[in-house]
Amino acid sequence: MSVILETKKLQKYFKTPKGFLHAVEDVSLQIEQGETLGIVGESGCGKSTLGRTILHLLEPTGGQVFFEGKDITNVRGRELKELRRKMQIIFQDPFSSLNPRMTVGEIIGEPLRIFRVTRSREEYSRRISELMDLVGLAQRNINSYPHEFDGGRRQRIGIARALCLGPNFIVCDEPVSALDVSIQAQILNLLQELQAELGLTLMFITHDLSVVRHISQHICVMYLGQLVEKAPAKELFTNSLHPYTKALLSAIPIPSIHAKRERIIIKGELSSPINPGPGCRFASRCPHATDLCRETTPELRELGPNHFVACHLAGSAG
Amino acid sequence: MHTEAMERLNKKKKNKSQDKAVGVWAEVAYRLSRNRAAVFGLVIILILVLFALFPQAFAGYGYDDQDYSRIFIAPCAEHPMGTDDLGRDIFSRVVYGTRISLSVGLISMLCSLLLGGLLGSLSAVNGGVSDNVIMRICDVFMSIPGTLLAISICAALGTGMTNLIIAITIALVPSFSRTVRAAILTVKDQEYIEAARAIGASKARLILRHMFPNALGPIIVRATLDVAGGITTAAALSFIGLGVAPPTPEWGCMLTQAKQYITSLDKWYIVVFPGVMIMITVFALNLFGDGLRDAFDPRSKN
Amino acid sequence: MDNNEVLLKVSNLVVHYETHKAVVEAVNNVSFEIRGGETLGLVGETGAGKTTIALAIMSLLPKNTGRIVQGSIELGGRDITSLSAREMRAVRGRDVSMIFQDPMSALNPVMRVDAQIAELIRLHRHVSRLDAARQAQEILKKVGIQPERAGEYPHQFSGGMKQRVVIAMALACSPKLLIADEPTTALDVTIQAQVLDLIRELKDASGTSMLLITHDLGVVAETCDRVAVIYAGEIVEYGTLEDIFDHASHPYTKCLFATIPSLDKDVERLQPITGPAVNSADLPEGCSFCGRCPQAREICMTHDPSQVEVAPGHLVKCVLAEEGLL
Repeated sequence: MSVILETKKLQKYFKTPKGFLHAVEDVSLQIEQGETLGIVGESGCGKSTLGRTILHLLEPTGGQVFFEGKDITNVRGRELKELRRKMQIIFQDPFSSLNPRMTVGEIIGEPLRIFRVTRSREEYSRRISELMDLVGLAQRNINSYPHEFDGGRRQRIGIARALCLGPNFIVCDEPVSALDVSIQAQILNLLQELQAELGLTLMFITHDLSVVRHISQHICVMYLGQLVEKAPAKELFTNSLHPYTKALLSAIPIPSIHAKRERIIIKGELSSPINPGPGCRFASRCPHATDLCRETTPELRELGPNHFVACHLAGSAG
Repeated sequence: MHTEAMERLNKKKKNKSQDKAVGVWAEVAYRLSRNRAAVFGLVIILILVLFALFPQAFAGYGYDDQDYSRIFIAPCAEHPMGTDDLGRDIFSRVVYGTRISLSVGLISMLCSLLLGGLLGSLSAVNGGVSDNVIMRICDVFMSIPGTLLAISICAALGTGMTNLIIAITIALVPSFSRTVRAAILTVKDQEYIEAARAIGASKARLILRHMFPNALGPIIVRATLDVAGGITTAAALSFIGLGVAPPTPEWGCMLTQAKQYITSLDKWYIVVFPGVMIMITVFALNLFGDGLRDAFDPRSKN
Repeated sequence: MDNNEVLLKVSNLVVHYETHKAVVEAVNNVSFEIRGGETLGLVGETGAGKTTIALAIMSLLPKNTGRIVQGSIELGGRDITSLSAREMRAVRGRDVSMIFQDPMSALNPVMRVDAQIAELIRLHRHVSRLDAARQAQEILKKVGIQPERAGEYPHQFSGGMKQRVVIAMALACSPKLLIADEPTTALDVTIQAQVLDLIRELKDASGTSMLLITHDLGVVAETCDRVAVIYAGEIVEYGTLEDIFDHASHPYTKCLFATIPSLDKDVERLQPITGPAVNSADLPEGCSFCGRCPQAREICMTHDPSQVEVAPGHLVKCVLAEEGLL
């Protein structure tokens, strides 16, 4: 397996009137060809920003991004446009991510027009029909407008658009969060089928832990812009090491009346990511925090095979 | 029970047949058609457009046909609006005047749409410094009353239809670019714009294909109201002798010639009809524009 | 309140939304009861009519379009569908209050939060300004907002804190019934856990009954006593937590459980509910779920089943139940 995408100390700061908002801080991760990497975290933890920074929808303020072995941190213009063929994104909100004034065919076919893939009308319509088949949309809908569909089928349109140019790597930014559970399962299955069929590599951003466990091979947990834990999916759920991950896992309501477990309720809420001081960002809410945690930022350490944790206390007696 | 089921079935059939027309524009058209005032305005506008397109069909005389044997004839069957001091048929002149007024209003609106649209979208899309510069320049222009601005420009450029249009366009552009900017800002942060960027769309494509069509509602409303504004400004400029020169049958121009008879009550028709035409046109355009605004944004009404 | 007494009784409720294009049959013949101190969970997907039921109880249906076509809503033995707007205002806030999904929509952005709560108290109780202010402080403390933050404006609070304020507001006049419409959907899981805990604690302490509307079966399992599963404006299954979670009988309820990815079991493929969501403006003639039901048969297309009691208190609205096949 080869690494298709790698970030090294990737940073994205936003300028705000109050100071710099550290949305993504020193995130280093690798995604292997054909796998699904899940990125989990609560709102405001920078997971969407991370995805968009990798795709150059936002410009990084520091660090590097490598795609297929090439440094793409500073690509511009023509090179960036070429890159768009290979890296795509699927958005969370199937309502606002489709232009309401364009028909389904126009939306799916727009990338073909932008890249002038074909000159012949037949070829153009053939490609659109193929894509619609691929994502399970009926051909008769080609001239309909997005508002005539429910959330699930809108999301299929978004997926078809992302697949149009045959990308290798797709960032899925909460693609099922706005959908009902029954529809959510359809879309998750579709994504898995497409991945197997087309050999896609997915970066799956979500706040829903059960979804991320189902779909990913590896999972990264983010907290306030930092990567706090990275582990193989099953391992993370059976043997989480970071206190935040533990709290997160115990907070999920389980749809069963027999599930007995100890709940760790962490107090307080996210602290502000604007000009954060040194130290572990979770320290203010962490039940185990020590002075060391409040003073120095913990580095990611490998504590098990492929299991990385950024916590001073993990692995030790605590 | 049986009849109830039948009723439900019938209702469903009805729902199906009505489900068809659900496009955004169809919705707007539907709401507009329910607004009587707007429909009334539209009908008047259509009549005026017919006047402007085929004046020969309505006017019994040419706009410049003088007949000194028939001066100051009160409205009658042959001259529905009477004749003026040179024996010209006022109705015919009013009909021909429609073409001038409407085209001045329309052309200056289109010019300001183009210019204001460009400035407004540049401002909204680029943000930052260019936004600031463009908007501050607009502020400067907007601090001068529109009509006054048009008067000064006309005075500097001289009379004539082209100069009139230039003057009105410049007076309209600042507020127009503001409208366009505001409209585009509301759609700029939508996810479909980002989606379009992600598939490599160029800036021009983003603006023309994605932002503009979605920001069109308020822009169309503004444009309709601006046609009315353009027509009044044109009439005002011609009235004070800065716009179109006689004998062109521009309504404001007709009023200038008529103003010497304003005190003689028996010659009321010379003054009244051109004035009434200006009023009706602007009134109709405003009715229609307000109707459009309500149709685009149904919440604004309740 | 006596724990066995029925507090809220909704019978044969039918609500339609009428627009120029279509009649949307949002709620179709829904009946349920909530007893004192009990929590009923209303589970269903988007557009199933959950919120409409809540709005109908609060008499907050959109004036121009929404209409109660049929049925009654009895609160403490009194039918509140026939109350005048003025009488209803007195009921809202004092007897029933509601928590919305978006906390911002319930808060006045230009008023300090303690003042908002004090105002509400003075609206329903004859107390002095000072007393009202003191009570407001107390309630805020109960939901975990410290007195030094009570004088702040809503925008100064985070999402979870705002929801706490809204809960304080809803409970300010100790209502008999609390309607919570997706109270934690907009919140993160760790905050959701805090808020759910808070709601549970306060409810137990005051003996308030609750109608909890949610799409999350996990939340239901943790908070409710009884569950009503709702599909296309109808209650398709109704029973105790145990009935629903251990003996789910309606095909839709079973599908709902099968479709959620599990946290501890590995499944290769999820079992989605196939077919498009039902359109409430165009309901099918027979069972409204038949188009997506894995167990649908010929008869389901034309025959609309009625509710059958498969076990004491466990109601199922399905042809299979009617035929005793469950």
